[in-house]
Amino acid sequence: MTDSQVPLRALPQLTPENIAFWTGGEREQLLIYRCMHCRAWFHPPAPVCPTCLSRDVHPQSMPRHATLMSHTVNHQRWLPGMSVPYVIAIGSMDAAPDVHLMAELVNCPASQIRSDMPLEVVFLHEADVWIPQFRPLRA
Amino acid sequence: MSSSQRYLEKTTAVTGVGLSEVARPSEKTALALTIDASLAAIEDAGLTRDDIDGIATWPGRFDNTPGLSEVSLHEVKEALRLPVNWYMGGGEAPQHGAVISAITAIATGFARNVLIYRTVTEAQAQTPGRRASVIGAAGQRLTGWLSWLGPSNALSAAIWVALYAQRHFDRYGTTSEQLAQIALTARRNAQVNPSAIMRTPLTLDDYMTSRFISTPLRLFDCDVPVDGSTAIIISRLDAARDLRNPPLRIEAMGCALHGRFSWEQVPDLHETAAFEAARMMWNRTDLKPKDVDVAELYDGFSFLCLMWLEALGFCAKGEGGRFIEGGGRIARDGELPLNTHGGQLSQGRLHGYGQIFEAAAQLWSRAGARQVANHPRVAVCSAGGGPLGSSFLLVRD
Repeated sequence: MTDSQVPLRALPQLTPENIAFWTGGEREQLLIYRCMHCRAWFHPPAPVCPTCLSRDVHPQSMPRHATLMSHTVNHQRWLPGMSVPYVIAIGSMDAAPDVHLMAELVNCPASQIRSDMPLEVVFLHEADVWIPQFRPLRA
Repeated sequence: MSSSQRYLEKTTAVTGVGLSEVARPSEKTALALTIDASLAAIEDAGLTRDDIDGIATWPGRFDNTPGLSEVSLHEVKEALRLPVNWYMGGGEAPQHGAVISAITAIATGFARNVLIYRTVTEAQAQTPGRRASVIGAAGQRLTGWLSWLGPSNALSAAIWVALYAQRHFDRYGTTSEQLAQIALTARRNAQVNPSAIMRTPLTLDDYMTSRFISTPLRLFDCDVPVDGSTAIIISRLDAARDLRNPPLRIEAMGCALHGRFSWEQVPDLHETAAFEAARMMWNRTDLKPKDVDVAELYDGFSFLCLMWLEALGFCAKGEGGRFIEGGGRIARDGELPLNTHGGQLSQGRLHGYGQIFEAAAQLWSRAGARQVANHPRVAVCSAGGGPLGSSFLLVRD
């Protein structure tokens, strides 16, 4: 994107808690909060582990493999100038199935989408954030 | 201890309702619509403004999406000079949060007669570049839970609900022809409701050939932005016996959220807040789903209505598609008349409060051509989808 273009995306306000998630993609890392005490992964980020209430929690690089839970092919142009259709999916992360991401599914024709298909997370760079996207896991 | 002492919503009742014009768009301002509905409700209850000692609304003034809620509770209090002992306009609750607040205020003795209003002006606020109910439209940075969805272009609840609907289709074999029955039933009811926006006949073929918004949801699965205001009076039951209308007791209410406040983190993408709210509601009453005479269930999207049918136990989890198949069961003369006013899909998006108005109209047998036969006595109302959900039972003794 050049400076003259208006960003079409609704971008997140960066905070001390979410900045790792939104910028980890610069180094190809999916940074998800993890409890150093009980080892549970959790998302979205918080300053306390929702399982054991330990405060010893930090963003860690999570393996980027996921499994498709659901998808939708969006046809509506919600913002002026956005290109449609596009696919939104919810994926369950293989390293921690109760951690889900809602993200675009790219590089996959709608006709080839199957429930439970294996996915991997890649990143789209926009302004100061790296937005996770899913693509089919290459065999 | 009797259940009426343990569950204090039973000490409260709906005593009056009011509805402004519903238009697309209305020439009136949001505040003027609100005053129309409020004065109608106060008069309907047989009260005067000096009797109104509490006001509640949801979500209160909210400027982030156009027309969603432009009337501040303070403006209504000022316009009517209401002598309130208590007021509450909080947004961090399910859509029927104002009902929950009013019950709480009455049960604690903070108020005797609470005016509830909910005003939407999403038709007059909408322009080609400024669409209702889309997040991030002004280019501002997103905060809170929306910030996890918007950057991936999941910009509308249509997408979030579509993901739940597709999962239901994949898992239980639910079909578009089944889901269509929610929209077709709503339209048939709207055709005999003078306040409904969408009153032309709608066929299954019209539905199946309508454009997709976000698969599997089509145009007719999405509600219609309108301008309108609904007002409800909730009163102390012991004071309500002498008012104009037979009081509609709040028999039980549920508003639990034990699981995640999230659309995407729900473990099976099925058991949303609706299921927990409904469980809580049924735990507070001896009534059962079979006792319900009329169901006025949230239908911001058709699929949410199907979800509420399952959540409330009218059918088993996953059976919603088969339950509504053919539409006979949920028709006005069926075993469970559903959204007899046309719902948000066809009356217009009054955001859960059109359902309450209609439940009262049915229980007071004043619904005219859309009246359900045999003087219905028990109604269930619900609102919400995803992490938002609450439901309650209204009973005419």
